[in-house]
Amino acid sequence: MSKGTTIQYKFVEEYSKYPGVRFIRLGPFSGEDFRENVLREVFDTEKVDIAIDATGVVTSFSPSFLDECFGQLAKDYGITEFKNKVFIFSDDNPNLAEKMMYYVERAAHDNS
Amino acid sequence: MKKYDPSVLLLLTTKRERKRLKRLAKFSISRGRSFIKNQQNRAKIVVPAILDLEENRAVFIRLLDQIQNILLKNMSFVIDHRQMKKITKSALLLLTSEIERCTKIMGIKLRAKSKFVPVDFHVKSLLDKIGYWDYFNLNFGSSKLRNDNDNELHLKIVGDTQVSGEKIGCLIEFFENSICFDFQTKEKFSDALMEAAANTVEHAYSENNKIGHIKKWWLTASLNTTINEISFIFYDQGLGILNTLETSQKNIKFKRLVAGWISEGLSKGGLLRKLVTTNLSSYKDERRGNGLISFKTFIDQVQGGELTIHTDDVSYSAIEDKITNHTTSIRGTLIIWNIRPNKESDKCIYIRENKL
Repeated sequence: MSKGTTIQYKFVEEYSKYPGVRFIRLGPFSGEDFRENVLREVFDTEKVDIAIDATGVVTSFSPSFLDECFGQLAKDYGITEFKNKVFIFSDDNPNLAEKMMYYVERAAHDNS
Repeated sequence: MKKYDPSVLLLLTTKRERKRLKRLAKFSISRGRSFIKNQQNRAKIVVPAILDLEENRAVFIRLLDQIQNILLKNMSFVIDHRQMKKITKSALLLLTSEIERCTKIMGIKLRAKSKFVPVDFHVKSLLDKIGYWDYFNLNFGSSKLRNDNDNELHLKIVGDTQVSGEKIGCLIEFFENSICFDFQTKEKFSDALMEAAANTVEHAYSENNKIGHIKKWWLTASLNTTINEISFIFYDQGLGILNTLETSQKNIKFKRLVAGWISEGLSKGGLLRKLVTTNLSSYKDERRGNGLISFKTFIDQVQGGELTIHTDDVSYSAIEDKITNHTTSIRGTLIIWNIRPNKESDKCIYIRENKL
């Protein structure tokens, strides 16, 4: 995490219990929407990072959500910057961070 | 004078037709006769006794054809359910979707008439529990059928034009409330459904459809507590998986691979099998979903899983590795997952191993 302010973001309370799929045009709470309307600002602001608490999500973070949201940011800003800015965890899904990183690394690899 | 029950059938009619019927009704009632009997232009669709895609597919497809023909002729129609003796959940989902397509496109409002509901107790019960009437906002009053003692719980039919996590979420919650569902299974299950719905919304429908479409997907699910089996069924009325390969995949490597399979002489069924069983991630756009292989992977990882995909006029059963060619098309894609733990005493459904 970067040395600065950490935003504690409760995904279920502040965004949705039901994350969607890839694009805004495909449905609500998409990866594209979360990236552009929540995370982009974090990346555009210096010394701010975000800790996303995804506890309580009813469905799952689908591969297309993770790829479009986090993968695209890793492509845009680089994987090192991404790792400094975004941290995700869930009390009911201990594998979530690992799953997200799979798509982040895949996207970053595509970009290299 | 013959007396007709006014609360009769499931009546489908256009606004213009309804006005005409109203006029006729006044006329007929004044003469002590039913207006219904006087209608020459209204088609009557009699739902056959057995509706089962496996057992009598041709009869079922003929029923869908009948509904579609009426749509194309812009006729009003009545659906008589009284002869029904057996209907599978898949057939019911397809029937619901076809009625919805016709009524949406024609701008028809459905009306409930109790005379034409099924007579058979089990069919009546299934239609009630799966939400067939509720889906069309048809109210027959409180049903005594809810006391039916069978051990199957049903998720009422869900349909949408978008991928709504909430609609998929209600399915997850439905199962979570009834069966032990570890987080890995839940996650795989949710991923598979979300991606299936996303593929449908993004790729399944083309503008060149003579019947017209409403770009929806439909879903239902059930849990049998006796055999501890869950099943979920997903359907869209799109062009079918094999007919959308061209538009859904832009990657040249993927196109070459498919062209190679075709030049090897693979049948449609063989092509479907390849698509379901081959990991295509290195042939497709890297950052797009893995499609059908993810359904297969999910089924391979859970205990007692079965996956059957029907698309157009072919079907493929992944566990039996069996291709079936049919003479009729289901005009869309139907995906059926059944999951049953192997151990009878085990009330949980588990993923065998944790793999991304």
